[in-house]
Amino acid sequence: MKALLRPIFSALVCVAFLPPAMAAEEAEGKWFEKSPIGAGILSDLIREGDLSPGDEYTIEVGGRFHRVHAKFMAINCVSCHADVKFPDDLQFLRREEYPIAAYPGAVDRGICLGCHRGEGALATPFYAMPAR
Amino acid sequence: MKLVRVIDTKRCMGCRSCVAACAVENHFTPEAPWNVMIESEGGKYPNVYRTFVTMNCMHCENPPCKTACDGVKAFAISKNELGVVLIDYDKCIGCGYCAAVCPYGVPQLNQQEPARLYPGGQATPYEALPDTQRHWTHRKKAKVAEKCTFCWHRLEKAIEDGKVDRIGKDPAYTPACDLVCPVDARFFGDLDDPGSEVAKQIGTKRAAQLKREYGAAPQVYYVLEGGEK
Repeated sequence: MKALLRPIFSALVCVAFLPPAMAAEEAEGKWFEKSPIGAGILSDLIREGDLSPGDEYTIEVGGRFHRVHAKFMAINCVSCHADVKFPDDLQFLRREEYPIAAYPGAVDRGICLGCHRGEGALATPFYAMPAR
Repeated sequence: MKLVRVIDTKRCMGCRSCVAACAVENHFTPEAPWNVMIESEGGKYPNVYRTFVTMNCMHCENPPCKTACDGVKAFAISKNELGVVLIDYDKCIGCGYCAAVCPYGVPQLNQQEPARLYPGGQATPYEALPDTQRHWTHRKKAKVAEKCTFCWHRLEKAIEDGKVDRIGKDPAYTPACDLVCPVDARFFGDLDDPGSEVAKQIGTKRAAQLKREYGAAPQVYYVLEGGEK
């Protein structure tokens, strides 16, 4: 019981001392735009369901995927979408055989690897990269 | 049993027989190819060379696509008892997360309508088959992810016939692409069997997995120019 009361009390104190404008932003859910918090905390909040980037699971722009990365994590588009091209020495006799959405991909997965690797990763670990 | 494929890029001449065999066997759609051939050229004139690498699903031991799929709670991707990674089209929500995370760019999404092979929209005899007459891995659906299944319909038959030990040896129980290579650049079988061709190829030719830095532990090995990289 004591363990439960403590975070509730802390939250009440925080809300009570919030400036009115900030409280309004809090209500509108825009607080993170002016007062960005750490990406690690944000990703934890999203994973635990305390913060919702939407339920539309899609990699299309406007869907959850891009909302998480571009809006919540504030990652610039070019951070991922830079240098996306096939190597110059690569040849395709039939272009449709290998869509541009495939290798090396709309985003080089090496960029994803930076955050999504192994245990203790900042982001959801997709890649079971062995520990160093 | 650990089913693996070995592709010898030093022997491959880029004829695309494997691509054609896969297209016929699994009727992959142009927007979601299950097997593709990547060509590259190198060197400096007059000493030039070309290399050919066919890419299909790596059926990773730690598949990132499955992690992503489970993460969105679709649970459409599974890794079965033979280590084959499969997509359940009925569960797939078409989010594309699997395509986004795969280091090898393997899963591809079907478009609004699965494209037809012939230009002009006329259905091939196979395309005209009703879903009930197709294996479940061949039932094309719009806006779902597709990829190579290691010809699961054949492996499944081996299980049904109680001939799992014949996988990779009997043509009926071997993926179509591995049967048609005219230069013996593809091998399929059980890596746990030291006498299998794949075990010999990996042992003697130092075949390696691609992009090991992702920790996905793919079950497709490549014999690369210059050895293991």
